[in-house]
Amino acid sequence: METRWKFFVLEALKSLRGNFATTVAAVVTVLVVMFIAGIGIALGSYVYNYSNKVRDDVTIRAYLKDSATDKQIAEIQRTITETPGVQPDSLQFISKDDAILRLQEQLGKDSELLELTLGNPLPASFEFKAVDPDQTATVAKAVAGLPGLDPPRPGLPNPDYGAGKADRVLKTAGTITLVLLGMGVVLAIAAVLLIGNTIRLSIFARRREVEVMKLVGATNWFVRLPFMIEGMICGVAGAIGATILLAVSYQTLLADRVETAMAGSGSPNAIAFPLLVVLLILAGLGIGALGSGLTMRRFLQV
Amino acid sequence: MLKRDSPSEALRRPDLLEDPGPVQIADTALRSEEELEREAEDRRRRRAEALAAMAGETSEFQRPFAPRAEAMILLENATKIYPGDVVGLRDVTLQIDKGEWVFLVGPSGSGKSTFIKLLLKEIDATSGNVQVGGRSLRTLKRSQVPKLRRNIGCVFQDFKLLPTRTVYENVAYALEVQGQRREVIERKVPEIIGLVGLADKIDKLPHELSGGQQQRVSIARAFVNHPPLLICDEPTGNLDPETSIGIMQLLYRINRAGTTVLMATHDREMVDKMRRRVIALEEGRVARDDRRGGYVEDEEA
Repeated sequence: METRWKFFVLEALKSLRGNFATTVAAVVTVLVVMFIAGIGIALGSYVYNYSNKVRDDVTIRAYLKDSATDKQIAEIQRTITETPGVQPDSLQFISKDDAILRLQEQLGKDSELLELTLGNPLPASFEFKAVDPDQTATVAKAVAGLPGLDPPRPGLPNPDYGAGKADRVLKTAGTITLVLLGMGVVLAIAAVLLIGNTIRLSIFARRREVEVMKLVGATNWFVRLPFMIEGMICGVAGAIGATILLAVSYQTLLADRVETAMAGSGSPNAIAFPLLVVLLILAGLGIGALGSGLTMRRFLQV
Repeated sequence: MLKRDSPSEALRRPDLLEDPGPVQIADTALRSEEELEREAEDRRRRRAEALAAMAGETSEFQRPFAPRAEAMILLENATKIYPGDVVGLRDVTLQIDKGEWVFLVGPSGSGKSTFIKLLLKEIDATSGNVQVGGRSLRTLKRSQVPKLRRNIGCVFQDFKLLPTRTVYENVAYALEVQGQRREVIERKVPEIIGLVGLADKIDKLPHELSGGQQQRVSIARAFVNHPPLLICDEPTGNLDPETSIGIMQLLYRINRAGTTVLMATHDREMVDKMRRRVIALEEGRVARDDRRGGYVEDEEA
């Protein structure tokens, strides 16, 4: 069996060398498709991770009345911790002072504005998250209406979890992911067809050879396998070329900007590069094998 | 499926192995008309002798008159109609025994190629029965076709060699397709190439060889498996008469070794001189089937 494979691989290499122009054409085709696919996957994964982060960051805020007693506050805290579906370690008490400090931080140099206000208008609050972001509304409802909480007003729900806002982000992200996914599928099909076409040219040039092979008693697989290995070699070569191109263009064009943008901010990351490389190479293998395997079919009817 | 004969002694007999020798290129400028005439005469004589030596001899495997000889090829009412009502073969019934040598003659379009394609299951009969080696081809599964073809050696007018492979690789391919072990290939291939007289060309590519040499390669490839049946489709059609004789001698030796030979041909002289069984096709029918026939029907018969 081992010598069998050696034979097939040698056959494939021989014909790759013998049909150099076709080989180059196939490799470049894969390279271009894989390069675009690589960008798509990186972007898509970024959007996906970003939307997940938005989802995970959905925080429920329960605002307290300024007049709430310590007993009421303790009771609210107890209710929140005992509500099923609340992330226990996410619960945080934000006092009035914390709230104003935070606002100052957010406003930065504009924080002077705060000095125009009389006293501290910000309420104290509890912040917590649901274990499952999709359960946010349910969890929030369990806390609503407790004594000591500020009563909800039109446009100012309490507890507030930014209902609608997160939903919109998620929906947009979902659409983007879907579009990218669709593009990926179209690209993959285009790649299979393009490689199939390139390989068809190479097989067409050698169809007499295939005919002779069949006449001396070669099985379809015996004729097909070297061609498929050929396709796989082209696919992998193209994928490797694409990853090199991706890495180089990232380093020269984007790396600096991305690093500044992401410095210390805990921003979502795109897909890890090694994983992307593995994905592209596997896709190259698959596309190469599929492209040549499918194309071979019609030439084997001898 | 088919029983494989071991390479017979007949193949190795030195008198049969003799090559007619390379064709002399005459230096015409230095020779007189008479001399040239004499040489031409000499060549004709040698050629006639060579053909006569192969004439009508019945090998020990050939039992034409045995009542129940084993059939290698059996057609029963075999009919092939191509799309558009084009007749390939019509109602052909015949039997070719193991070890026989049969010429298949007839004008272009008479059904010779259809006959050969049926035997290789490149096409299926529209109706009727085709058997090769006792196996009905109609019920033969697609997946079994490669096995069938490994048991049928094929020699074509245009040689059908793999152009990017050397002589060695071309012959080795026939063994590789059936998953032969490397040691077997390395032993058998040079042996058969030596046998067809091309030991010194073993690493040449087909286009570096003459037509006759290429045909020898294709015969080596066809015979390296020692198939019980060898089908030749005008093997000498592209070759000059001198070279043809060498090819015929090679095929003759293979037949003597017990392989059934079916040869479609237009070479009238060859058929007339060798006096073997002749099946003549005309418009898809068997027009004539003579035990020891000529290219056309004998006047006195």
